[in-house]
Amino acid sequence: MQMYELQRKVGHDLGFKSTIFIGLDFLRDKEMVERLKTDRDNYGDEIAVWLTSDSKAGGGQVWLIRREDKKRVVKNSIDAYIEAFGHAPKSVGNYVMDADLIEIVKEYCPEVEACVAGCFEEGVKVFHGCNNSWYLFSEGMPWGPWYPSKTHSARPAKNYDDWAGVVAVPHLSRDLVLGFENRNDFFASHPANIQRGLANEGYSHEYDYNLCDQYRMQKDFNDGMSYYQMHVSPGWLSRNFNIIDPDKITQTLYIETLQYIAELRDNGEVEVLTFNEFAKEYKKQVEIGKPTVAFAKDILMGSGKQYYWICNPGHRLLVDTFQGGSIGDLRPYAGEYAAVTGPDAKNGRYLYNTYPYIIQSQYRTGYKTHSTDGTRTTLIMSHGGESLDMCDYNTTVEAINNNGNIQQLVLKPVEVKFSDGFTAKIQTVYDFLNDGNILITRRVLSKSDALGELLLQEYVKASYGFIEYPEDMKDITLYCDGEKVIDYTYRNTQYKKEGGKEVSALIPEISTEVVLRPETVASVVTVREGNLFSPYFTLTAEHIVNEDVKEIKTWLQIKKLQV
Amino acid sequence: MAANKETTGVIYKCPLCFNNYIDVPVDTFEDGKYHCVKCGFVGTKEELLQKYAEIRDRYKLRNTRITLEEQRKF
Ligand SMILES: [Zn+2]
Repeated sequence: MQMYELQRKVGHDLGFKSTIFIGLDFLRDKEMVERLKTDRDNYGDEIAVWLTSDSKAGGGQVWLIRREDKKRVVKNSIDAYIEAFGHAPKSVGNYVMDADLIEIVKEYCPEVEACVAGCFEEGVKVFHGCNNSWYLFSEGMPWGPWYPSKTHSARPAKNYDDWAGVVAVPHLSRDLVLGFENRNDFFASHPANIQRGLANEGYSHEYDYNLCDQYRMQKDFNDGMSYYQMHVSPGWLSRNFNIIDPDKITQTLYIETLQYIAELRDNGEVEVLTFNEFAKEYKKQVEIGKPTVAFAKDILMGSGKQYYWICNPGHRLLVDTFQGGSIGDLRPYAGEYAAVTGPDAKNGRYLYNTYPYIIQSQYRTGYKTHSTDGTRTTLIMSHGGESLDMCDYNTTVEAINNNGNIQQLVLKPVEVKFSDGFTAKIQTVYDFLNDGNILITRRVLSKSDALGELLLQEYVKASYGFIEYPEDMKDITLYCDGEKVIDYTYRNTQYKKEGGKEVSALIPEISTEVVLRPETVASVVTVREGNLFSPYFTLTAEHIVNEDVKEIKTWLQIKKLQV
Repeated sequence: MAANKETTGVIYKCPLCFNNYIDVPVDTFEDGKYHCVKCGFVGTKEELLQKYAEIRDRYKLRNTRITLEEQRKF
């Protein structure tokens, strides 16, 4: 309570309108309710509902209980809120809200406009970090606000009919580099968690400010819109066993970070809104289906790394410039995989509100480091019997272009040199379409010998999964030019066709089809299954780069598979 | 996990586990040293603090302010 008072005072002294999330206990606490009402009336604070499980449901987390239990919990909380405040809440939340929970809330209380519904990449790495005790698996979602779809809360809706009816926001704003490479919880808009990760040094906490600015920079690529949120429970500010620093430091870092945001607000750099105000503004400014991009630069480790993120209704995707601009993470939203969580969830996937990946280079290897490579894309460049792999080359972002619902990423050209001295300069350009189609262009800017032989093979190695361990792949089938050529039986079979037009993989488990289709007929296409020691499938398309070929274009397409 | 008595409530974490970003508190035993429940770490308070300093060193930019303008050019 003392720490809540501290937060309350700091917030009001800085002139913030806060959103205060409270659970059922406090909603039934008359004294607390009176204090909250006073703050609402005097300072414009919004009082919101933090949905929590109850003992009848077996405790635990609210998104991990049965549908009937979710209904009771929602009813009890909303009823208590209305009883306390005389009107319906506009915002509700928890760390995760699955599609069921959002639907139940919206049905029982249509006035709810905003939900805290998930947090970017909170899952496997946080689970490990908490000594395998934090059973929260909610990865593969947008890093900023989104319109959740009806069938999977992590997937942004493709249109109005597909929309669950609320604006969802992440629980915190996570570092756009370290959220991918590392623990999503340590590197976030939460000063105490940054202390937990030891990324401050006593009272020196530049990273808190730098992270805020990492998010401010995203305005440059998103029509002037970016979102940053601090969401800190009082328990983090005193005697939190996760934090080594004394409380005085913890509280000072929290206050100073808020002071920085107040300063930005006073200078007109940012606008501070309650959740409900934000939801209204978001609906005004952002239409359903609008893509979001992020340019992620390392601001803590000093590695110089750059990543590019794109999120649209067709996919969420990461381009890894340190691996030649290959795709390091791909969530095939166009497949519209449906999921809810709880003991009554289908296929025994009780825990996962994660939107499954088909490429995840952190969990599923990416570029070869030990046995074989794993999920990734690349360009294999061959000359004189020698093959080079684009993943071996570093590049950086040259330009991020926004053409409405087509987002373009242009990477800096890479010069490759073969052992006989032959060189070629190749530039990669991606066009990301809203329907899940990705156009990969490889511009051949120069060759040291115009007549020199050069073969370029577009290479996609994928799988599907939710965590770091592989799933059963036996239902996958592989196709070439519309004909089934391989039933996945872990025999490492390859099928090859000269002059092939497209190769594809059908993954019924996640209702997704992945297609690799050269814009012009390829000299050779191949499709290959894997084995249990390398549980992937590989699609390739190879082109001969003659003197008159200036670029090759290949579509990587994500489609919904009717199952 | 009990708070380490002589440290005014601060609960230290195992530096070896933390090297892999795993958060495990350490406890003091009768020998006056800190022991980890998950791995074989044992050390004095000085060793703990030294190891924390080494962990912080991985964050090369932790004391560097990188403003919005600087990040744009970064
Ligand atoms: Zn340990």
